[in-house]
Amino acid sequence: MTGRKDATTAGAALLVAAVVGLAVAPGLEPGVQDLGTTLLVYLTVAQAWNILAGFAGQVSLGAAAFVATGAYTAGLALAHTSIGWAAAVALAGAIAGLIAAMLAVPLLRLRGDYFTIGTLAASIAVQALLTNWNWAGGASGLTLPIDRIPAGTTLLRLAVVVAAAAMGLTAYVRYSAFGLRLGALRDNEPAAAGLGVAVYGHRFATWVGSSVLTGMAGAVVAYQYVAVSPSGVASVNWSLDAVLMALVGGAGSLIGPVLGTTIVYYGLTRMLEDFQVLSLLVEGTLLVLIVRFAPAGVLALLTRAARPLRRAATLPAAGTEPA
Amino acid sequence: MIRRIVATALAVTTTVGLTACGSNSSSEGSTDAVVIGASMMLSGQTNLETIRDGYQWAVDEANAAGGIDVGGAKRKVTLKILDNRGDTNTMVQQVRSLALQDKAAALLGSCCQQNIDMSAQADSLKTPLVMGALPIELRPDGKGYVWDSFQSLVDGAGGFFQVAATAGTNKKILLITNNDSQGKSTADLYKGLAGKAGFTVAVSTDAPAGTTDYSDAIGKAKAAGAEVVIASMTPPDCFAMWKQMKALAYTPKLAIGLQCAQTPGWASLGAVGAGTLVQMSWIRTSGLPKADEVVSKYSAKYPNDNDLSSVALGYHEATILLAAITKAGSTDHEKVNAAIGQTDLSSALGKVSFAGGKSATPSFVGQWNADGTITQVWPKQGASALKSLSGLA
Amino acid sequence: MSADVLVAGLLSGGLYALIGLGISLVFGVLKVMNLMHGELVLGGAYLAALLVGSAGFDPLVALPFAMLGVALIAYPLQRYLLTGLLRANGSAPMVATFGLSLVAQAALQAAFGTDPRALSAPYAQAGFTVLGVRVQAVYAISFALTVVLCGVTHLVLSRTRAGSAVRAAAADPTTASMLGINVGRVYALTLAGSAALAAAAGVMTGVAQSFTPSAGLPLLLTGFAVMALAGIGSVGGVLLGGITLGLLQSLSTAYFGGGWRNFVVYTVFFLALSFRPTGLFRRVAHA
Repeated sequence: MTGRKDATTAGAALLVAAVVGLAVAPGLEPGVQDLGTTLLVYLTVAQAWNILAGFAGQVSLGAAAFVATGAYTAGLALAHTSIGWAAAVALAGAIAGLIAAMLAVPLLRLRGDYFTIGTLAASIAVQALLTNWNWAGGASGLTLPIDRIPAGTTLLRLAVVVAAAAMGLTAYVRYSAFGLRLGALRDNEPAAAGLGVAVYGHRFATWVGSSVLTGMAGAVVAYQYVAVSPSGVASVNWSLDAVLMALVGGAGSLIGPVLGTTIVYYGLTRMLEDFQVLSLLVEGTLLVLIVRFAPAGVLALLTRAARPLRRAATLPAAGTEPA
Repeated sequence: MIRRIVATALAVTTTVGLTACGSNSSSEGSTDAVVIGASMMLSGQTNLETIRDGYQWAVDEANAAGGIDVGGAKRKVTLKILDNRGDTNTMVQQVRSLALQDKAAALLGSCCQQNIDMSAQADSLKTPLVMGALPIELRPDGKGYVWDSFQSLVDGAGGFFQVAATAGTNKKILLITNNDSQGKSTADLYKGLAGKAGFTVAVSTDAPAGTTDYSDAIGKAKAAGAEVVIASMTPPDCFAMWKQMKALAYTPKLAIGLQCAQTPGWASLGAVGAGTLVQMSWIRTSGLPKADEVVSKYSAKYPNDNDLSSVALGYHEATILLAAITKAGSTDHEKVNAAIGQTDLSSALGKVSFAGGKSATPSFVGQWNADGTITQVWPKQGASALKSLSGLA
Repeated sequence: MSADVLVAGLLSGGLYALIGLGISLVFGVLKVMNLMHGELVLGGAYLAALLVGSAGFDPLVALPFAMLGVALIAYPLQRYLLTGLLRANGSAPMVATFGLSLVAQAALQAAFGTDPRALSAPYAQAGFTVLGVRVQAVYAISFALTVVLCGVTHLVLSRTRAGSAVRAAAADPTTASMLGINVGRVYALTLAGSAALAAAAGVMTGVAQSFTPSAGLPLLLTGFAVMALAGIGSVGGVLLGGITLGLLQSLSTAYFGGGWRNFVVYTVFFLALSFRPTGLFRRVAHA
């Protein structure tokens, strides 16, 4: 069973990566720690989108709503109660899940592009609501109590744990029977339903799971930003970035979003920050080229480019292999 | 075939690009230059290149003199400015990378709501931040790393009501603001001061940024007979509202556009914008230090006093910061921060002396002319006579 | 709550309908969410600004040229790029239009700078009184223009050969191409037509309000809201959808205050989409 073997390898690799991340965090420069935290937050949001869109075929433009829910939940919990920051992260995930479950009633009736604009509309309604919510600071938002939130090493470690949860859930979806059924649903819903796949249950579970992850990432964002406001954490850019990062790397794969996050945030946003026009141009062109020539993302390109090399390397040894 | 080639080319470019980017980023950061960072809106809805020019002017001036004195040694100043396109997320990430990766000794501000979001970062990164373009009442209370030297809403509002008292209106006001913190504070302040000045707020309403239809507010103002308009909004919103006031035949006798008329784009409204009042922190007739130099150096690039006031503001902020670094004799965040607190100098916006992180600079009230220039109408010194609100008549 | 406010809401609804018409046409025929629709609208505004600025045209005279210009840009994009993606997996064309919207923003910013602009015209700030109701001229003009363009679009779709080819391609592209219809060309013409409608909306927006290179997103959302209220691909419904949106904005401002306007609008948009995905006016439009 190669599937199970792959799953074990992926799980082990993920565990090693997480442990290494937690272990090296204290030794890093503050600037690198901060960059790492940002990358891991984006990875979590992109991976959560990937679970929903890449594996379940539900293209969402609503990630911002859950980043905002998580950030505000953590911020309000710390400002008004005495709970610790770790509990606030869990609470952020829980509230994001709860709101997702409520939104599921209208949203999951929608299919295809209708679902996409539905999520977009919901997310903008959330932003408008936060802007008017005076108890939570209205348009100027709220500032978290600085001495009660994690920073530096601790914040990076938190980001590692949250991102590992996102990677773990994606790995589960990638290798489990649940994920197989999800794929069947994505590719042909009537056929999958005919074979007895519980359509609503599967869509609901993915939608809520993805939102919980995004909400937890939102709490990390709140700790990093210290001040949360509707123009920041509820900005539609979160949703657009998630799509960009997952697609550039390769949606529907485990590693794709990792590559995509690195390329888009580190390779484009950060490196071209002095040239905003160029940065827009490159991001746009890259997206068009990827969709046109490499719909499976950069990951597939790298795999394809590496294949002849690997074959060349293995040929002399494996002489019996059919050509 | 083409597909394969393009695909491979893409993969190679991305990989090479990433490797190249990775290698050049680590070679930055020379040890002897003092780094000052700023993340500003240089594209998008608002463009602050005027303030950036002011920052650059102060830094160039310092570098031309061989750098600034830091603990007895002359050190050059590197000004690192990033464009955040007006996006809050980008701004936060840029501020963090300026402080943590570029090791900026201190930060300079952007404007408006962004300065509020930025304040929390300065406190959390324990990095001093000198800013303007945020009325000092709006500076959030924090942990002591944020310094705001700018006009105060109260002074400006007081000036406006002095001007308004001479205008011969029925003293009934239409007050309309954006629903952000600046808008709300402005609304509260003007409501409070209106009564003391003998005015009544006949209609008070708010609108989210991006509103294009103001017929509700205009209708109510007409019904209430309000002859004074006080609007605090983003420029595109004001453009739409001023056109609509004209089209709906609402004819106030006096109007002030807070924030929104403070843009050179106001001139593109043409005659409709003429006579509108604007609150300023600098004007060429102000008699402030360096005013003539601002005009002679920058009026070719920015003919308008609004833009020139932003250049003066940028110069003012950067001067405060550079002087404090010299006074601290170090680029240590705590020492620089303490030195800013003891600032005692006079720059392009006048005298600076911080109390509770705030230092009020003088306010001026100007009036737009049909030819796109602005004339000072308050305070008396340097002022010309108030003209009628011809654009909306 | 005065009649002025209701009329203003109704008339601004005309402009919203014009923004939504193109987006609805493309979705109806190509089944693609065109995320660069906002930039097509802006393209019209900027092209008109060029003509107004350099040749001294009145914006209404510049309008047909702006429509043609933006259509000429859109045609090859669909013909040689986007149509090829329609056979690929579900979200590919939508993502490509998002990529193109970023490229368009960069191009507009590089060419025109970021300062807000407005198209000046004598009717931009003119108004008149009808039956005691004060009306803003530019919104009355754009409402009339919308009605005309909706009518033209409806007639082209229902009465011409090209229109029946579009309807055939929309209903079943495979069969249509077997019947000898060049589906690729029909799709490209559809996007070009939608772009021309967008450009017209852009010119009117530029006269009535103002625009910047990054103003595409709110315009796009307006278009989506109209489409969700109207029902996808129905021309008559689009007009009613636009008017509904305009009235919704006016009424929510009057009753709840301006601050809540966006919340009310997007919540209604969301609920209408979810519980009546065929639109509020589907039946009206077909009747």
